[in-house]
Amino acid sequence: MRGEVEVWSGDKLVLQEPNMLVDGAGELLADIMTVSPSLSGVEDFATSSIVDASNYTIQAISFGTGSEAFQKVGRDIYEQKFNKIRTVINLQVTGVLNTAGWKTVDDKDNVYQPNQGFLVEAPNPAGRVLSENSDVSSAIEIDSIDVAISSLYPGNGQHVNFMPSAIRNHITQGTDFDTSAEFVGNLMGSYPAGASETGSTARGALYYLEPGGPQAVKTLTTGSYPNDASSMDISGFITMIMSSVPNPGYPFANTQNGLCISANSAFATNGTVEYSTKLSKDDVHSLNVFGGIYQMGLWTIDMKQSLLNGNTPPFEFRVLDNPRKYKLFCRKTVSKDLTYITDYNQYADLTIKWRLHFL
Amino acid sequence: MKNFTDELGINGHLTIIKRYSDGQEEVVLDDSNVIVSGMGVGLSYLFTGSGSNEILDYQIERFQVGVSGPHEAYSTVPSSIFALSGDLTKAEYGGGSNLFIKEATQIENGADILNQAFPLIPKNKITRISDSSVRYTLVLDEEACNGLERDSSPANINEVGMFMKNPTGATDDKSLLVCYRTFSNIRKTSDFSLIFRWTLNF
Repeated sequence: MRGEVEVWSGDKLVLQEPNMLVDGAGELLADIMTVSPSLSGVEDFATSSIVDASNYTIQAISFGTGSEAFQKVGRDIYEQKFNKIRTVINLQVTGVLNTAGWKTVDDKDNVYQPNQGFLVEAPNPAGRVLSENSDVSSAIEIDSIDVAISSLYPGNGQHVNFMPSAIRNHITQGTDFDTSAEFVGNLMGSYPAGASETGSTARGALYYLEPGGPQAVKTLTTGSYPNDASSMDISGFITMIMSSVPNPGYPFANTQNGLCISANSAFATNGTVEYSTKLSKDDVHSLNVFGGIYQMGLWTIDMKQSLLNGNTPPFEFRVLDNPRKYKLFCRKTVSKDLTYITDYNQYADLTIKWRLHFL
Repeated sequence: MKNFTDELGINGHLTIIKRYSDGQEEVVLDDSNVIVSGMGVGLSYLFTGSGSNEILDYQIERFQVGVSGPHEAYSTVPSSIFALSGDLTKAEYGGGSNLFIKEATQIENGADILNQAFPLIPKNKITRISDSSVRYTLVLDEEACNGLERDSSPANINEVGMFMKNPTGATDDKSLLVCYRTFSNIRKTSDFSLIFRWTLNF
């Protein structure tokens, strides 16, 4: 067993299985063993910060789905005619509604119809991302030309975080999609806005389309936990908020606010480290619309890529322009969608507890 | 349940070579090694953020050789080995050698053992040979470890281990054994250098 993953829906255990360490874990240890000692003596703070141990530990968690989901389900609304969803877009533009997702007609009822049916690729220990081929295939008509969403943000193998108004407006500013921020956000997905974000009526809502126009299915009032705490970047990485030195920007050791690390009192003899985070019931419902959760990953900082991107340590986490580039350390793939439910009114918070055993 | 280092597949390969002054080489061992539980202990300090804040303290940058191998646990639970069974003193490494000997504390089964002698591995002898493999080259030169005796009897080198520098982040280094290997007796003389070419695959 290479560590294990526990997933709780409310107080019900829905998954307890081993995980998979990937090649990135071995590369990280080789990185550690070959860092040049001369860096610590350099007076430049950024350079000497390269030897800070926190740059070489697990710093984020993310969630993914099957590749096909990036071309289907909630991202399929182009096929259902953009002009029919204008009424919803207008709610978003005027600030009445923050985020909107689109269910298929089959999923409109509260009795879940598992229509997704796509295959999830087998976990690959050499993989660098959770899912290959994850470009969103949707396109938006701009000046009578269909422009592919992937030209704005190529797929990164996991659920991204484009929906909240502050994020989608920032991403599309100055691009061809400048006036289509709501369309882009609704197509890319994946998490609703946080409870404290704008949206006078709701943080988010889910719809389906009928010939007459969009019909509301569910209003999301709880909102997203990680978005409310500003602990998830646009790429869908939920950052570590609590280790031995708690991040003063976040409430102490609350798994709603991001990824937390802990060890029990028997750590000296069992060497077990637990990484945990919590998604709200609205996070879970929204992810279901965008393909569900079939993949999870723990990530360390990729020092080389972070430096190559022109960033210098310490790499301070930022939501909109995160200087951290991540390296996949271990992953978990499940064969049954973790957002599966028979009555979407019964969605509960999802708690992930990921344990690594060092001894 | 397997532990982290087992499942990650960390393993090592050790080649021991006698190199004579005329350039001839003789391979005396070419085999795998034992990754001991200290590797997991050291990494757990890193991943919990409870150890040193500087990544250099988690590096393998020192070693020991010994004369009383194999360790008693070698035939039963080799991964539980936490120390060489007969490590050398600073004087035994030889004053005329090129080794730089650091005297430091060693963590042995949770206890601090003071004033242990550790030859340091020069940085240019630590080489990354692939994305996840690192090679350490340890050299006991012609002047090192010659004419060893224990209890007035000749003593032969027959065990070697490498250590993580200071994973707990102590003010003065406290080192931890992370990999170990025993081998057939080698009577070290000034006729040859003894080279340990140790490759760890993470």
